Amino acid sequence: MISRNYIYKTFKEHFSFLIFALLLVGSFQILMLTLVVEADILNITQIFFSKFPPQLQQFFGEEFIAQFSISGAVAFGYNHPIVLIFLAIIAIMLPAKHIAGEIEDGTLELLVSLPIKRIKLSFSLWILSVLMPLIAIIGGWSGTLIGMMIYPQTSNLPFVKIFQIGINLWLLILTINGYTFLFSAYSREGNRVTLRAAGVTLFFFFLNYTVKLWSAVSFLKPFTIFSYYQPQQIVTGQASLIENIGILAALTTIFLIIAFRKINKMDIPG
Amino acid sequence: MAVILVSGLTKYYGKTRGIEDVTFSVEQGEIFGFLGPNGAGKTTTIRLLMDLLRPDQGSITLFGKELKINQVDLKERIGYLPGDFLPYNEMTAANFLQYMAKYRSRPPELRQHLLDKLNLSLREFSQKIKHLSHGTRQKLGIVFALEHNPDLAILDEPTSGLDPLVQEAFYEILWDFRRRGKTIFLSSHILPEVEKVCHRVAIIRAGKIVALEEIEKLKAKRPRRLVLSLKNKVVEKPPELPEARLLKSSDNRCIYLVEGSISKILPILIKLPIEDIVFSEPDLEDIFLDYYSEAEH
Repeated sequence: MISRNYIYKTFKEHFSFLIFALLLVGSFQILMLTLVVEADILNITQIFFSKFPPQLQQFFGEEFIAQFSISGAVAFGYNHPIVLIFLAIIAIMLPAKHIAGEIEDGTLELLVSLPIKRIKLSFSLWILSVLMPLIAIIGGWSGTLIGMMIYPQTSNLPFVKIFQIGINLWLLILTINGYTFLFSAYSREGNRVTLRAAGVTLFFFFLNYTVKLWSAVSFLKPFTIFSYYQPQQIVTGQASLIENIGILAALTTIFLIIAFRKINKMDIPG
Repeated sequence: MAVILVSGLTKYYGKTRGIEDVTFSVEQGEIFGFLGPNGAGKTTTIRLLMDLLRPDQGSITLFGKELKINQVDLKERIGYLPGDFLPYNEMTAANFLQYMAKYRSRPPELRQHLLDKLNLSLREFSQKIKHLSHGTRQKLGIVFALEHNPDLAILDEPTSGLDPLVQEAFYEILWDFRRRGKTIFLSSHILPEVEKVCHRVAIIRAGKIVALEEIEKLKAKRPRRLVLSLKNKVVEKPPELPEARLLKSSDNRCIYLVEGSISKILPILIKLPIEDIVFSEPDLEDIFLDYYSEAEH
């Protein structure tokens, strides 16, 4: 069902970026623990925000301040835009480059002319799309563990919760990857797919913030994938991980089924 | 046995015509030419044969098996060179061949022979593909298509970008393949090339096959050009010849298109005051243009 040859070649092509993402996500988690432990940021932030007008305090929210606690900081480390951007790049670049991009370059034509089923190529690419963000997230978990070893005062952090955050993040990234597969199946240009997928992801991201801040549009909350990834709520036990993962997995499955069917039937243009 | 059997093949791109009701067969050991100008439907037909496009109607059978159901098994026996051969630019030629060969179960037994024959140097072979010239890339494409000794080679404009010497070497490779019982389906718009290497040819125009013949029969069937130079000036009435069409007359020169047997013309020619006579075999270009002008009328 998978082509090792294809996986190996594609993995090799993105290896440097993956290592960079792994180190970045990992060191970012260490940095977050360092910041919270070495400077009493929680206290400073609470004093700082108490001077703000009530509307502004509401704008930032308790969640924002809570992230300067040790567990909050860890959760924030897995929800920081830098981490999300790097993982989203992995999720988007694989299908955009290797489906639409290779159609554009003419190399998919050569691959499809060889004795290999299209579904096998698609599935192999998806396996890689599953593994690469997971490797970067393992980098994050490793960073948190290293940070806990460096700072003994963080040793009572609930690592199970951190593991759950990572799994939830992984599913979020796979959902982004799922709709990028879908866009790739219906497009002939890698750059266009990248732009579309990045645009949709940014839209979901800002919609998530908008529904939090503006109660009049809170009914839109279920329609952004970022609603199903709330690391702070996982730490505080307010979010149902199973429900979040279930919804993201269901969405991903739907996107992939449509994408794979399309790829299997589509004309490969010259 | 028919290696390729195409029946009623139709493909539309939205509302735009690709090909319509294309039917032909190619026998084992044949070098089959597929002729037509750009946009006639050559590449569409080839891409359908390679399962890159899905037909709207019709069927394709290769080696007696339906392509739709047996793609993987059949592709194992096929070598394909696309019209625009675009390999991975960042790979070296050597790595590219090595990578692609891993998808096939047949070993690349002819690689070295083809590299030698096409004069692909070791330096070129170890260079990144993006640094290779168009001609060298095309040579690489030929090696890619034929190195696993396929039973059927489907080649879309294979000599594009090759210099005449390499073209000759390529024709030798094709003849060698044919001698070993392999089948070659070759599309081209270069008429002398098809004339030189193919046994049978299909001419496609506006998505439809307008001729399907052995090259020799096609030539025999088609009109020949007769140029008469008379001793006297042709005044008003050039001589009438049976089964020949007068194309042009000026001064003492008449040009005919002879569509029938020469035997009916000879007795008349003997009686005419002829200074010179040129009776030329049609080349494929004449035939090709004739088919096209006929179809347009």
